[in-house]
Amino acid sequence: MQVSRRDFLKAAGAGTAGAIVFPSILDGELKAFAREPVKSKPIVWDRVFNHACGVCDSVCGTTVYVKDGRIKWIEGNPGDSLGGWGKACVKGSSAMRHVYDPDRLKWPLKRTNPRKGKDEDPGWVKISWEEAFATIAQKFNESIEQYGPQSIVLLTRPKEADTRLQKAIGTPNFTNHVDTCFITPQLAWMSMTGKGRPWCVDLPNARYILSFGWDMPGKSKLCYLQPFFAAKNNGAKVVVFDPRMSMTAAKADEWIAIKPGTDLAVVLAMIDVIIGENLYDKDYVENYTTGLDKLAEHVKQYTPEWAAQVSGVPASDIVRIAREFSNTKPAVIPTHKRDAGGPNYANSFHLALAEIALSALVGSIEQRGGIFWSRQPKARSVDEFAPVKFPEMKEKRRIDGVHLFPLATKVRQGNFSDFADGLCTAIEKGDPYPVKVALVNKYNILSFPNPDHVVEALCKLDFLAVVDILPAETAQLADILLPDVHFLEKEGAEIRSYQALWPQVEMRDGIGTLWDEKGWGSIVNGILEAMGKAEFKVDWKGLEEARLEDIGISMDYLRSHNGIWEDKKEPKGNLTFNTPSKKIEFYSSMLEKEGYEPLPTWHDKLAHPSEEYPFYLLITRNAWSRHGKLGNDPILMEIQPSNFLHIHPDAAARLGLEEGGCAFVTSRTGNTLKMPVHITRSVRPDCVATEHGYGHWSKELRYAVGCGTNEGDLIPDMTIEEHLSKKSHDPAMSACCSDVCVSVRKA
Amino acid sequence: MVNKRNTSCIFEPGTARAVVYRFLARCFSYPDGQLLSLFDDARIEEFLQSWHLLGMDKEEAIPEASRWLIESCEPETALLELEKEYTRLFIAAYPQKVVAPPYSSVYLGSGRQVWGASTAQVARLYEAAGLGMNQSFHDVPDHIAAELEFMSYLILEQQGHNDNETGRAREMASIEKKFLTEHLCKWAPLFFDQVAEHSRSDFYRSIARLARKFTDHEILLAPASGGFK
Repeated sequence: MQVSRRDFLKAAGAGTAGAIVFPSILDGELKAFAREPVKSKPIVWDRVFNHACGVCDSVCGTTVYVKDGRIKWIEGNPGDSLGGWGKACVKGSSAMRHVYDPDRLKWPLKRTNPRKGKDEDPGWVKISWEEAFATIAQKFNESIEQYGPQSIVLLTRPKEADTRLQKAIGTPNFTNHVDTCFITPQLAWMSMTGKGRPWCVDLPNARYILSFGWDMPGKSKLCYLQPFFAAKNNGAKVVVFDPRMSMTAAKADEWIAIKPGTDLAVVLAMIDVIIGENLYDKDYVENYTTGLDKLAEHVKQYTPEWAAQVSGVPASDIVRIAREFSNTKPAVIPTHKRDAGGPNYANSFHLALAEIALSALVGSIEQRGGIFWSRQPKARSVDEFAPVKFPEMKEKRRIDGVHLFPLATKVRQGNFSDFADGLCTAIEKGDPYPVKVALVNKYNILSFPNPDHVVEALCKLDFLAVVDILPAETAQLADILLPDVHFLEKEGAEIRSYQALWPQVEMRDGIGTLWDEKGWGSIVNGILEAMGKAEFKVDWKGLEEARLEDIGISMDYLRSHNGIWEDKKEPKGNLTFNTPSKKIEFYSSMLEKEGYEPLPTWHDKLAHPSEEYPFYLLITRNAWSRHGKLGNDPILMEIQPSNFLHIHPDAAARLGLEEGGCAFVTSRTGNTLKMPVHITRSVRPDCVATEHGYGHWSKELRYAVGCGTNEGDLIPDMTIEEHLSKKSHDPAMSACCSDVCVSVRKA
Repeated sequence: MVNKRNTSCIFEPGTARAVVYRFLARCFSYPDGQLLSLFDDARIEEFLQSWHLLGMDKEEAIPEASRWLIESCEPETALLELEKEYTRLFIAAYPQKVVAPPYSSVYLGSGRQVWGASTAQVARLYEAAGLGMNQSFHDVPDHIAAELEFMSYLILEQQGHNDNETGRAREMASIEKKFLTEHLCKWAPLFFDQVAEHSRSDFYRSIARLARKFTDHEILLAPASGGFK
């Protein structure tokens, strides 16, 4: 507020009985300081507190040391027996550098440059939260009035606050990362067990671990890494099928360099062997499964000899491993996200089905040493806590076409792979209806297939609001940019889901916000309030307290119990399933009902080496990276400043590539990336591999920008039509994130 | 702490230093109406008299910065330009990085981080002077605007006591000396140079040069005067 000199003089003159008082630079209160303790924010100089790491969903319990007002050290909390087991990984212990990164988003920002693009300076100016919320609400409300609620796109996470916002607005366009991460196994488990995807593996008690590309130990996901090594120490045998020697493969008893995307053939043949030789667990199969006869008949076509031809794995090995797997108890197939049974290939859905069938045959589901669903304590839902009537969602069609896939619709989750295509069509042609505005919560464009298409689509929007921690790529295209709270600043409680073999709650104590950031829940409330939809707001802190009360604990309890509550007991198998038969269905009645093949069936992957693109592309993630989130850490980037093109010596010799030289890599997206070459026998001669997490172009990321390339540029995104063409065998609309071949030439 | 005083009161070296520190503190805060009002006739006059009183050379910087403000455009446009440049320099920059993070630890510590050892050092001095960080400040304690404001506070606190023998004044003087010589002078010149070199706006360039000149002057006087008293 500007006080003009004249006004000031007038006011001053009135109060001082005629004495002329000039305005002074020294007028006014101190801005940065408060003399009264009640108005000041106290600094805690020395403190040790328990916290739950938030870098990845392993959510390891940690102990955080604050000295001289700053976090100086983070280590594992020994009280956490499900996540880190008393350890912190390289990512978790690096988080203290991220919270103090001066490039972080600190206040809401507004764009002043109307032009958008990768090379446009947004021309940020700082604004207040009030202005930020008011602007977003105005854009949203205008869009609703003119085009309906479906014209608002939410690109946010499949979590409570996000769902609340979606339902309050009434838009079907709630899009998230599940098709590039886990919808494939999610739907496969639903089809065969009627339940969602289980996230727990009782590895320490397993005697035989069979991995089809599963590499969690190599990703330093401690909740899987720790029990994996415990299993090894207990003498478990580990067999890994992977075209690349992953970290897990390097620690395995046996590494089988299978041809990419053919794991399905091997699993089908193993099923054939196990049923044919009567090696399955009779009690388990009889009591807890149905449809064995149909499965047995169906897999007769998938002989080990046939599978050997498809996969390149000798038939004798397939038979031997099938026998070992069924004779060594407990045996388990751990799976996670981007493995062969994840959304990597066009046949991943059937691989996921086949893996479940194989697990059920040896009795490895909900049995000691096997796979378990998360044991979460009973606590109220957000709708129980804050019941409200949501408006009817009139428009069911979505711009990413999920409504055309009945099973994908069931899990009500969106799609990254055809998002750009759907958004461009909606914006340009108004088909199926116009879309004008969007809100993105911490999704980086670099995580999408063919990210340039997403950039193009987002630039076409009238208005884009983005929430993030760092000014990363998506943020560069925002009109309003909102700062989220870093997990080390947060206070709260976290109910474990990954590896929750028994119920566990971890506390976050936090250091408080360094600047003026807000958490996602508060941001959602702020938007709802400004939109005139205050009735949908939720007291998130109150909800958390109520949940702890439901469990019978409180923040004070957690604080005085090393930050962790566990109801530690070995899980008892819960062998009731939610299928119509209440059993695991080898022959899925749900798939049959929806018109899909009810049994795991061989389908080929999409892309095979051709003259034009002679190499399979394999994608991996470093142990010290978490998607693109940690790229702005100078120390982590120093470990490996660029991704490499990992190539077999024979292929390298043929192409004239040398170690330390560079190569151009091209795919059918038309994009070409230049990568430094690393020659290694850890990949098959018909494959090349590279690491994700590089290729940042946001010029506001000081350390990450310009380091390496993003392999997503080589992965084609999809159209709804392409999804429809594989609809018959892939009800999950998986993104096929590694189903592409590339050409390589010397640079 | 409202200080309404007749201009004649300025002619006291302590007040003059406080005026310059406070002026600079406001210039390195997020630009708003209060920043523009620093450049009205009375306050500019107050600043120039203070500057002169401190024995500084006739300085071109202030007229240059204020001329830019007055001549360039309408107040709203001027403010927007300042906001953009302030954000670019100190909050979120394009391209590459925040141009000149306004935090001491970025210059004095290793690894370009906020809340370093130097942050703790100043925050402890604030506490010693009886101040806490304002809840509405939403920033790290060693932000340049806070540090410059702190100097003005310390100086004025000593002035409040005509009898310099009082314990309070002595205490403030000792904190001031420690703060200035062991902390502010160690990084502020580096920061001001960074701003002067990289700013695209005449305003921040000239203010940064002025600030650099002033801190050089302060460093020069610091040991000789035994704590400015």
